[in-house]
This record gives sequence, structure tokens and C-alpha cells, in this order.
Amino acid sequence: MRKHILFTLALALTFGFKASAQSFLENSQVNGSFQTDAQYYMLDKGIDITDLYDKKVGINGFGKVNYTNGNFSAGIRFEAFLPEMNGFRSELKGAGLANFFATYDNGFIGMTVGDIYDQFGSGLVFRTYEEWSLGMDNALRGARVVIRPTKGVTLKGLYGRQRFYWAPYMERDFYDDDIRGIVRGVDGEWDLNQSIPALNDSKFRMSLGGSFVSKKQYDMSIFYYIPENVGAAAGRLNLGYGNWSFSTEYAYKINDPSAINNFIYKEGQALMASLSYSQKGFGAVLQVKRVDNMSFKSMYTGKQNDLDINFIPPINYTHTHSLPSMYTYSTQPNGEMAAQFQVNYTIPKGTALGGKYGTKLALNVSQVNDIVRDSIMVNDQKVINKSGTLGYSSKFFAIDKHRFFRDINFEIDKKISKDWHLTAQYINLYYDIETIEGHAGAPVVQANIGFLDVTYKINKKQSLRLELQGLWENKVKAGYEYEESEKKDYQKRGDWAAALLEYTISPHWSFSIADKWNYGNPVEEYRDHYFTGTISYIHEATRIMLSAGRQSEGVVCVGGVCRTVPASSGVSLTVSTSF
Amino acid sequence: MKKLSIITAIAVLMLFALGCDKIDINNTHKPYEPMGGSKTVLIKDFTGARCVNCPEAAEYAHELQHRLGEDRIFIMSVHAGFLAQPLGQFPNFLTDEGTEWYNNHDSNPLFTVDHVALTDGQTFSVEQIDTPVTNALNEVQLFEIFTENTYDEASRRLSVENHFYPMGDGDGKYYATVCLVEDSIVGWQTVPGGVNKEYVFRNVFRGTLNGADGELVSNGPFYIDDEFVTNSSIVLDSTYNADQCYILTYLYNKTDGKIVHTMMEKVK
Amino acid sequence: MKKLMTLLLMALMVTGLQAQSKSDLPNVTLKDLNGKDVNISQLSNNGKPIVLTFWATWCGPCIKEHNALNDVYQDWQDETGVKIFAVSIDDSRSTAKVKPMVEGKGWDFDILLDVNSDLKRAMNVSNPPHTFLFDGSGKLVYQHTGYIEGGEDELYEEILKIAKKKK
Repeated sequence: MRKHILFTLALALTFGFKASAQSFLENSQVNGSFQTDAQYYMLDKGIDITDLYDKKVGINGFGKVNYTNGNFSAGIRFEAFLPEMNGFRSELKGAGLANFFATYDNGFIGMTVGDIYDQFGSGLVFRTYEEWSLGMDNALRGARVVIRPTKGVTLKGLYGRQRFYWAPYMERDFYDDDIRGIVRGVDGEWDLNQSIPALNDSKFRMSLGGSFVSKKQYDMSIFYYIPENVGAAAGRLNLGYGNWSFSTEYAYKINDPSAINNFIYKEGQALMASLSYSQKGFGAVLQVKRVDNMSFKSMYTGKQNDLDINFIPPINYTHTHSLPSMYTYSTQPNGEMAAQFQVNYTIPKGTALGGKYGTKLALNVSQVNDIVRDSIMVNDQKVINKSGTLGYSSKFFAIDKHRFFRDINFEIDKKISKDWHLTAQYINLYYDIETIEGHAGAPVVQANIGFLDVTYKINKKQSLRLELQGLWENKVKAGYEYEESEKKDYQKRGDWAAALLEYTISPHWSFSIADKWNYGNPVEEYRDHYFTGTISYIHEATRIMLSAGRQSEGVVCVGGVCRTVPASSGVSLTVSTSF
Repeated sequence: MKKLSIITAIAVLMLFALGCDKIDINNTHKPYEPMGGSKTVLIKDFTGARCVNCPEAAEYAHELQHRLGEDRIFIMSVHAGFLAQPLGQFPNFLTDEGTEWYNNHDSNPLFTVDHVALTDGQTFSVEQIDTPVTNALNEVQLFEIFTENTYDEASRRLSVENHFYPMGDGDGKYYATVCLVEDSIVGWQTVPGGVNKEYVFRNVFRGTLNGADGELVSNGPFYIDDEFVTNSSIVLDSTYNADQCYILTYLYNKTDGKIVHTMMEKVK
Repeated sequence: MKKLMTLLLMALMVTGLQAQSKSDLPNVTLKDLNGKDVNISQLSNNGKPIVLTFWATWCGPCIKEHNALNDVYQDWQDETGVKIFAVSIDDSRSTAKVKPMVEGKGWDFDILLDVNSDLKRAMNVSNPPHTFLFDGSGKLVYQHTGYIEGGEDELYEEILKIAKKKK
């Protein structure tokens, strides 16, 4: 009987109600994508890979399908790590349904159930997102409501529990070891230009916003009283007038003792501000940031990037070439004072300096220092950062002498002729590797880095590109005196040279060979060549890339969130497509 | 429209009300409450002489042991992994069994509590062991373990006889692993800021007497009057200090891997 | 259970084949450089083609592609009236830098900010650069991922095809 009903229903769907169903189904769309990244690892005595620890292959893959119909959309995503590739957290190993959601949004009110990705303001108190190349996904599984009562006003409320690799979303039972908490938040934003008709097309722009987020966690500590409800609030303001823009956001979090801040009970604060001026051919921006104890996770014992509720953006330049991006800065949630200044200028075409096509110049200076931490009195004793106390006190505008990072770079991008294009950049880097990467005792990286990128168009379809890079450390180079016992800390230190040659045939093919050579490493046996060859084929939305060779130890960073990649030797294959 | 605004306002206010627990800064430490029960717990601390964060983690584990009872909690420092590889003057505490237990993890320190870990195949970081330790201490004690050590100074041969007594009737497959542990060894250890050349290594795991997986004790139903005995022996290496050595025996359920009881006994 | 799924799938496919999607542009709202809300599903170019590109300030090939597109944009607009919307997936770390950089490089496109990758997810973009071409009624006609020197020529061929159809 049931079978008959089901069959009839399906038939009806297909033919019977075609007439009225037509308009409903007219808007139906199904789309999706999938990607597989696979690596085959090989032993390589030359770079000290003498044991694969039984892991010959790493495969990361996902497939997702979205269904949209007018105001309604839904999707699911399946992920598999069989096992995860090197450099990804071993908690990812496994496969399953990683994400699903359903949304209805008619412009006035919107509701989402399932896995939610959202950001309040700059993310200082709330940001959930996923970044496949980092193996990062802190989606909030629960519900979200969005209300837009009038034009220019948006109110949001959300509630749920964050994803923690493959841990199930069960209700906590007293004997359950999973002590992830619940996150809830509200956000309101008011864009004056859209809601006040007089300001609709005004040169003056203004918008304000405020958020409040709190987590409810479970106190399972043996030593300390952990607050079960921890709240954080933020306020933001954006102003603009003609070519000028100013934006700022301030966040405050109450006591949140956690593994990251050594269980201190200090409140947390963050302030970000930026001022920019832009007109055709010229843009300049100045950004400043202060962060003090703003790590905010939904589990107080979380480590690394696990269960982050918020996102503290780093404000320094992101390098794209391999040598300058060897030492990428990652945010220090416990405290930092940062500033960045950038200028972009195009020397107009037709001028003496600009040449026929104009020349693009860019200058960027960014620096991060520690905040000043003063000791506090506890039981008539001066202590600093002691667990169970307020930790320290920090003057809001004081900058500590300890510098974490400084990057000064200058770039020229010039189209020399119809067939020749040149980009060159010089970087001066100061990188406190001990603090940023946790390499105890390693000397600071002070280096001059440069690259030259030349493209030659052979004809309409074919082109050739050559990339030459160099990294020259000031102190740690060949001849540097190091402690034999700390040899392993010098694995990527010293001077480097890199070259890449790429040949492309538009629109599908790209071939390249590259070498990175650590010729100036103080430790002789680490002066290795890292050869790689790559072939990639692209057809519309499908991409297949095959590469073989050696990969040096490094860091993959997206938005200040980093993943270390260990050295490896072998073959990698990436296949991705969307439909 | 008005109704919606009122509901929204109430929701926001509720959130504010629930949102904040301010802890009195003069009262952040919990008072000590003795734990009930009698079951013992084994914490395996996978550490390394060149692991900069390990001393602090080891200290936290010891504070936990001190707080909850040194007769209820046992710690075994298993040196394994990249940061335990011998290098220069750093001591070599690697063992085959330790490397097998460590199972290719990629950092230190890592902890297991009664062989239980956070997610399948994973381990705890030190801040996360509070909950599993509390849970483990609350479990019912299933077995009693008595260890008899006989040590001959001249030959340096140690014979260990273990007696296992069920506390009640039950069923299951149980294995016992007998471990040699040496306490208070002085050597080089990386600490934040450099190397401590006179670091005191506590509870260093030196190897098992009966294999990484131990030996079968009982398979099938067992009763309160039963007694199971195992025998093993080992010759202590000449570099070990017999006065500081002890035998740590743990009994675990072969089916789910969880340790059910642990006991230690000095060699001399 | 399996039978029902098969039948439903068939139904979906049949309707999919019959379905004349109104628009392939998703119902996602982003902000432009002036902070104004822009709903992608309502993007219009008076019946002329629309190009949507995804880029980021940290993506080298994206910058190359956009420099190349910028060089020919005026010509393309004169001939076909095409409009390019360049969607930046920079998160809040770079949002403040997008406008000065775009102006500083002299790009003429309309820039949209996808700070939390909402549009990127909805359109199944894995890695930038990724370019989509829609005809005047919002139907997806062509897309390509990655950028190879001269790739903009293939894109232009597709734009011409639509522009000619209109005539």
C-alpha cells in the first residue's frame, strides 16, 4: 500500500501537477562542487625523511550539493580524510556528513537551521567560517534568525554548538568527556545611508553596529572556578566622506580563564581602527590594532585553532611568492599592538616614468609589538601571568619594546611592452620566530628578501614566465655558530634562492618546474634543493593539477590562521570541479 | 512591527542577563574535596627531553596527583616521538614499547588517561585531563592488584609476581602490562629560554617486562573468589638506579583498551 | 526507501530539464565599497552580459587576471556593454585595504566585498581566481577557474557570443 502511494506521489511530481508546479520548479537549481587533494609520500634521505610512519598516502576530499528555489536554499557537504594529508590535524581522519543547512530568506525575515557561517563586524567577537586549505571549520550548528525591519537595519540572532572535527553533537551527559559549550549571540547593524532617505546618495556615509555574544561552558576543572557564562560585546562605526573612509571596532570580553591564557581572570579587550584615502590611481590606508587577552573559544581547554568563536585579523601584508611567505605572521591572541601603512600608486601612462602603459607602485610597512604587561599584587607578592589571578595589568596605549614582527616592502608592477611584463619586490623582514612559531631559543629572523617576476607572451596563446627569488638572512647564515643540540631548530634558516619557470598554453595548459635551494643554511646537511615539477589542466570549472618533487617545511596561512606543513617528498594530485 | 521589536528587545535583554558570570578574584581556587572510591588511575605522559612545553605539563600532572592522592593517581612519563630522539647530551629514554604506544603522533606533550583519549586515536593536552581523570576516579574498582618483587643485587635480576583479585563477579578479556619505571633521573631538558642541565625526570618509563600489549590474565567470566597470577622477570640495566626503580602494573580490558586498575611497587 | 529516492531523483532531473531557471544569480547580499548592500540575485546590466569574478588581495594570479581585464575593459564595454563585478573574498584583515588598492591600481570594475565567503560558498568556488559569465537574463553561460596568460581572450569570445545573440 505504502509503495503504491509513494509511486503515485513520484509520478504526480513528474507529470500530474506540472501545471501549477511549473512556476515552483521553474526556480529550482541544483549546483555543487567537489575536490580531492591527494599526496603520495616517498622516503627521501636527502631531506631527512627516513620513516613514513606507515603513512604512504594522504587524501583530503569533499563533495557538496546545494539546492536553491527562490527564497529557499539547502545544502549538504560530505568530507573524507582517508587519512588526512600531512600537516592537517589528525583529528580530521575519517569521513562523513560534515555540513548541512536549510535557509529561507524573503528579504524581511530569514531563518537558517543547520550549520551556520556568519561574522559580526570584523569578527572580533564572532566569526564562523571554513577554510579547506587549512582544514579549519568552526561552523555553528543550530539556528539563526535575521530580521530586516526597515531598509538599512539588520538584526541577527544565533544559537548553537560549534563543530569539533568529527565529535557528535550530542547533549552533554555528566560523564561525557566532551565539554564543548553552547554559543549564542545577537548583532544589530544600522546603515544610515540606506534608511534615511535624505542621505541615500550623500557623499557622507555612516553605519553603526553592535554585537553581544556569550558562551555557556561546563566547569570541569579540578583547580579553578571556571565561569560558566562568558560574554563578549563589541561596537563598530564606519564613516566615509568622499574619498575618505574611517572604520573602527572595539570589543570587550569578561573573565575567560583558559588553556590559552594560562587560566588568568583578566578581562579581554581589542580595538581596531583604519583610515583610508582613495582616488583614481592613488590609495593610502593606515590601520592600527590592539589585542589584549582576546582568545575566545567555546571550550576552555581548546588548543591551537580549535573551537574559536571569534577571529582576530592580523593586519600585515600577505605575500604570494614562496620565499617571502616563508615567515608569515600569525595573530597572538594573548596580546599585540600592531600598525600597518600601505600606499598604492599608479604612475599614469604616457609620462616619462610611467612609460606607455603606466607603472603600478606599492609600499607597505607593518609592525607588531607585544603589549606592556605590568605585574600585579597578589597576597603581598608581585606576580605576572600567574594562573588563578588577574594576571597582569596593561596600559591601553602602551607599546612594549618586544617586537614580534616587522615587514617593509616595496613593489613595482610594470607592463613594459605588449609582450613583456615585470613585477619586482623588495622586502625587509624582522620575524621573532621564537614567539610566533614556538621555537624556543631560536634567534630572530632578520632578512632581506627580493623577487623578480617576468612574463613574456610568445604569441596570443603561449607565454613563458620566470620567477627569481632570494632570501638573505643578516646573522644566521653559513658560518653561524650554533649549538649542536639545537641543530634541528635551524632546518629552514639561512639564505635561500629560488627559481621557477612556467610555460602556459591558453586556455587549458600550464607546465612549470621550480627549485628552492637552502644554500646558506648554517648546518651543512640542510643545504638541500627542493625540486618540483607541476602540470595543470583547466577546462572551464574543472581543474586537474599534478605535481611531483620535494616540498620544504613551511606554513600555509589564510587570514592569520596558520597550518604548518612538514617537509615531504612525493607526488600530489588535485582534482576539483563545480557544476 | 511593534510586537517584533518587543520580542527582540526581551530576547536581547535575556541574553545579557544570562551572559556573564564574574568570578570573585579572591576566590578562584576550588577547595580540595577528597574523591570517593578506590580505583586508581594511570596517566601516560608522552614527553620528550627536547620538548619545551613538557616540564610545565609534567608539573601540572604532578599537582593533580598531589591534590587528588598519590595513592590514587599514577603518572608514567613515556619518552617518544621526534622531541625524544637522542641528540647530543640529551638523555635517551626511548623504548620500543613507548614508540609503539605513541603511534606516530606529531607533538608533545600528549596525555592519555587510563588509555582513554579525547577522540578516537587521539590524546589529551594537559589542560584537558581534568575531566577524564575525575571521571576515571569515579569509576568502580574492578580488580585488586598485589605485586611481589624479588630483587637479586648481584645478578641485578628482578622477578615480579602479580596477583589479580576480582572485586566482584564479571566477564571479559583482560590483559596486564608490567612496566619498569625509574624515578628521579637527572639530565638535560629543554625549558622555555634554554636547557636545564639538571632537570629531574620523574617516573621515566624504561620498558615492559611482558611486551607492549602485556599478557593475557583472564578471558571469559570470573568470580569474586578467583585469583590470577602472572610472572615476569627482567635484568636491570647497569645504568639504572635500582633504589629509584619500581614496577608499575596495569590491568586493561582488551576489548575496549581501557585500563581498569593500576598499582605500583618499589623494586627494593 | 531506495525506490523512492530513485523516483524522486528522476523527478528532480526531469523537472530540472524542464526548468527554465529565472536566474542563476544566488540570493546573497554583499556590500560594495561604499558600504551599500547589493543583492546578487538582483544584479542587472540592462539586459547586457554580466561577469562576476572572485579574487583576493593575497592571490597573485587574481591580481594578474584583473590587471589584464582592466587593460581591455574599456574596449569590451564599448563593444558589448558587459559589466564586470569583482568580488573580493578578503576577510576582515584586508577589507580596509581593498578600496585603496583597487583605486591605487586604477581598476575600473565594480567591487563587492564577500567578507565571510557567503557568495563564494553559494557559487561553489574552491580557489580563486574563478570567473562567471551571465547573459542579460542572469543565466550562467560560462565559467572558468584559474588564470592562464591570455585566458581573458576565451572569456571575451564567450561574451561576444551572447552579445551577438541579443542582436
